[in-house]
Amino acid sequence: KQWYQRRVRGVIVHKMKILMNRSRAKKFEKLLTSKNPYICALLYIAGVVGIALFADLRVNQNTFVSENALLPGYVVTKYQQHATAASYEREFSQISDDDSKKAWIIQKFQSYGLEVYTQNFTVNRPLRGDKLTGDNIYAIYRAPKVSSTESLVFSTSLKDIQHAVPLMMSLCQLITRQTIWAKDIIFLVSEQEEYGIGAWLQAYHDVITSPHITAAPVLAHSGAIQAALHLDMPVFSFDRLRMFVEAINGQLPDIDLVVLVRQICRQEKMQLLLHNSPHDLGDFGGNLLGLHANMAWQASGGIHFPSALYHPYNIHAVGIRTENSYRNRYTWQHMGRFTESVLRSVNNLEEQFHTAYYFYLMPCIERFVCLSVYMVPCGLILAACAARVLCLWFKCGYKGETESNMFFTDIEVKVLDCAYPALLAISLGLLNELISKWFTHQNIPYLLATSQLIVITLGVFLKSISDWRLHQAFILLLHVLTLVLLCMLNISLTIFYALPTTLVYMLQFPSNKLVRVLQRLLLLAVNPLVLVVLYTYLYVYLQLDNYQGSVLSDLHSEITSVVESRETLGVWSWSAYAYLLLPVWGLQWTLSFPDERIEEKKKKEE
Amino acid sequence: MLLLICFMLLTSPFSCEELYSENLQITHFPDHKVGAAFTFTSTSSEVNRQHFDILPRPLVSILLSYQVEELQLQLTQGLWRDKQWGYSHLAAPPGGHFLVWFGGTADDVESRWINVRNSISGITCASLGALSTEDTVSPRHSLKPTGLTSKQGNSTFMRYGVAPAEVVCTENLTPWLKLLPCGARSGLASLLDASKLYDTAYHSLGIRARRVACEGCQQKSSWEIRLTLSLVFSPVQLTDRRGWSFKTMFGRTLVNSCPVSSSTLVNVRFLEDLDTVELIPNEHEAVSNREVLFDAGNITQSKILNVYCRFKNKDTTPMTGPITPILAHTYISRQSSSSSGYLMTLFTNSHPYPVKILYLQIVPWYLRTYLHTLSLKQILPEETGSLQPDDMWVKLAKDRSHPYTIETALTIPADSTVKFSVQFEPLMLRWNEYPPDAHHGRNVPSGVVTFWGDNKQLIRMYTETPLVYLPTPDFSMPFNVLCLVSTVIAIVYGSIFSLTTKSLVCIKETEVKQGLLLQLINAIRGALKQDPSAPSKTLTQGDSAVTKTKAECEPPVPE
Repeated sequence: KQWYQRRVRGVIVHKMKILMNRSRAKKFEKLLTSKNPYICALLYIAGVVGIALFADLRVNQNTFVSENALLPGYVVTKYQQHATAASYEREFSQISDDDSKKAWIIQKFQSYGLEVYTQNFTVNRPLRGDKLTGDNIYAIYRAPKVSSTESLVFSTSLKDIQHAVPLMMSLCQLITRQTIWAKDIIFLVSEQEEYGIGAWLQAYHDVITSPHITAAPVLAHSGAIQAALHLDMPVFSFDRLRMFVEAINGQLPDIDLVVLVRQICRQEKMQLLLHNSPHDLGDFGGNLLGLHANMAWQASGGIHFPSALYHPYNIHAVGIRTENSYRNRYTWQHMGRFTESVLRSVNNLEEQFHTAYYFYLMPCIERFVCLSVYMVPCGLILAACAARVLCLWFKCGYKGETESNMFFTDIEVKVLDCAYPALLAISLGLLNELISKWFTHQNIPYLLATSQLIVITLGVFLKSISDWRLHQAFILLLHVLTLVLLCMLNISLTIFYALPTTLVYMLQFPSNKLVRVLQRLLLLAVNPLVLVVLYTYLYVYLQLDNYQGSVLSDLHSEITSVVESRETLGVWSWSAYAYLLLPVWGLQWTLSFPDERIEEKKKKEE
Repeated sequence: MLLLICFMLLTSPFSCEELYSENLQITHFPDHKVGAAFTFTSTSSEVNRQHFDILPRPLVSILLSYQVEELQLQLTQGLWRDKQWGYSHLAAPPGGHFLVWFGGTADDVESRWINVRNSISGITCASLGALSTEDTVSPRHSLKPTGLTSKQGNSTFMRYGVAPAEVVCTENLTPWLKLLPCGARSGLASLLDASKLYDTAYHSLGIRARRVACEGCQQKSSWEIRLTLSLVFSPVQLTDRRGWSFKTMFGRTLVNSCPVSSSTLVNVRFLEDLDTVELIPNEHEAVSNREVLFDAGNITQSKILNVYCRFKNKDTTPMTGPITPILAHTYISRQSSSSSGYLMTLFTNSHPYPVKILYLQIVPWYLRTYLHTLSLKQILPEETGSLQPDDMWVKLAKDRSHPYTIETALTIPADSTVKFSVQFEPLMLRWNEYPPDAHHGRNVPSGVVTFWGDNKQLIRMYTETPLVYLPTPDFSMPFNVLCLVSTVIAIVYGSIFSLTTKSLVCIKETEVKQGLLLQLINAIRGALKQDPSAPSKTLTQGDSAVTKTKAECEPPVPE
């Protein structure tokens, strides 16, 4: 039996010998271990303050156009087709059924001598178990002087009320009479909102991104698409325009395109706002709210507007929606001039968009914070976590001072102790992943919640570990690495996730029973799923004043669509959650700390 | 005028073997665009002559000195849309297209090709001189000579250069017009107004020289030099109406004819019957129900020609014209600029019988092509398994030397669409190999599709030149690195150099030879202080120079 035990011990216990030269780092080490709570708190608070300062006018900067070729607002617009647009609108609004609408669109495109094609598609939504079918109608205007190597896309979605279609037709009339175009223009009218655009792009680039979308092949192409403008006009006389920049997975278009649209709006004296921000340039408080709203949109990584689908194909796109309050100051003429102006400015491009920023945060439409600035507070928060890791690491192998500068630190790692929680944590992520993959059912959110509960309750009954410092250091290190990876991809998501979790993870230490319950409660609150629920509540109460309907049902549909959109449209929020965030949280949850008194006793014994 | 006639009478007996004719072919397309193809043909029965009356001397001397037997140069702006406009014997790929068949011996073909390229770019102001071996191929079967050559189409004697991004402009038109016997002063060439020509949907300038069989000549063959200009106008875009006239299209009317031209004809072909068209002037000859011929050989100031045409059917919606039976369309399938992509070509055959075609695709070396991924698949009317090409000739690329040449003979089944696809991976170039507009991407040369048409004539189609974005480095990076490295070197080098080369040597102050002024100052200072206990001052001396650092050789005497 003894032999067996020794053998097992040999396998499961690794003695890690760490060669350290402590003489040089001694000062730093001493400072870090003795003043650790203060250092962590200082770094964390500095990070939070830094993020809040993004809204300050001295931190964020004015937007500007980097690409010289764009010349925004320098073109003399020729749009005079407002009467045509109005008459088309009357014609179009009288058509009731979809098929006649499509026929009307095709006939109009043909009358302007454009090549018109129809592409049908089917989208299976595995979770909702329904099927969406539709047609994409696209017409290609071949620019006269070039050989169809580059193109622009002007798209809109076919809905019950869509005034962008008559506008598009009136623009066709103008464009086909001009010889100034250097890039082909693809007019795209798609059905089923983002699904239609996704299906068309997939077929246009002849790639298969999702097995759930079956799209007829696109047999006529123009060249490489340089930029896209998606227009949604629920009203044709309007007061302001809303711009949608956030694309799928928190990607952003080149800021030049965003600034271009803003410049043209300014020239046309139209008010342009960033999706749901209330003003274009506010004070500190207003900017902070705007920043929060924009970051929330980016963090979700979801699709808020059909223009979001262009980005995976390296196409810079923005979406525009008209909005009215009561004055109805602008109508066809303004919108036509605006669209023409945008298309013509982008038409001036000699190369791809490449000169300006792809990574930025916008507190309001006028100002932005670039990558090099916003990474600093983000790094400070992670540094707070890293300081805690170092402190724990230094403490865990510390056995008093020795004379020699170089010495070995023995750390015993019990593999089984680590393996069980690790397995549990990974299974927590994997379980979610598998459930979402295999059980394609609309009640999946409840199933997920139950699975989560089982794992969570299992975690409570775990034995406490004596060498908790090493485990905690490892978990925090993993947390930092996860966030470093994430902040390259989606900064808003990282900040939203890092702020509460880092604080709670750092507050996990041996304590008495009462504090322990509090720690557990906090930990439960920062479970990624619970965090999403909390944010949704916060968002609903903060942003939507007159919200009606239950939040829970909204959440239910939201989670369904998040899980589903990975399958159909390629949103990776769910994967990040299942593979990265949840396992780390699970590790933290399953790590039981010894009681405070036992710790103290141990110390005295030593 | 009288003098001119006298001159013509005098010269005519000597130039009897040289002929010159002008032709303008106006064609209507179903999308209401109007094609205008100018052909200026000059022939000479004498091949090896040093003096010509009509043939452009600069061109012929190039042909003769480099033993060129056939030459084809096309400078094109826009894409010939076969689907809407049908086939054209003047069709050319976008950009520059330069094809030369050589005579003589095989070993100096390459050097003669370089010379021809440079000389022709000189007389056309095109940047063909920039064509390197990277853009030059010698395909085996696709581009056969159209005239008589001594080498029976042996492809080692031919060179084909493509420049898909070449831009065509008035600076090419002006020297081209100078090759005409009457220039732009008279004849059909006087219609060519640059400001109107470059406002068209398609514009292709061509020089085609070849040897044709000559009956009743001393030699077997004679030169035929054709200067061609193919244009596609869009009257609907210009005037909002279907009708057109010389004035609206060219901005000019024909006021005089070229005196040396043996025939000057304007041929107008319609899509609808002549009785639905109002045509001015009336002096025309109806060739068929849908085709008329104007003789523009006897135009004078009093009798100008301005063909004017108006349609009874005013609808500008495109008509359903004859279907182009065989179509080819090239595009790139690629998701992002960092990944590999596929070069795809769709071949559509709407004939009820299978058609054999020959497809030539040139792929630049920096698009590394994986030939094992090459596939042929029928995608319409239904997707079937892969097809086998009838035959295939492939020449692999060599980096910075020559491109891939893929020639495929394939049979397209009846009423179907076949997809040809091959995977490629764009390479990261050296930083100095990128053009100034590196982010613009590079064009893949257009594919050449050759097949026999319905009435047994050879038809050649050119596909699109798709744009491929190459991975581009951050170009400011080398600059930053250079700045940083040179700063570091400057700082480190100076200190390390002085540390390693200089040594500290102690010298007593008295040993140092002092200048007169210094001696004087010291003397005065000594006299003033008169303090003997002061420590003796020393100076440190390097190998070469005396440094001003004060170091003491002996420890100071404690006071």
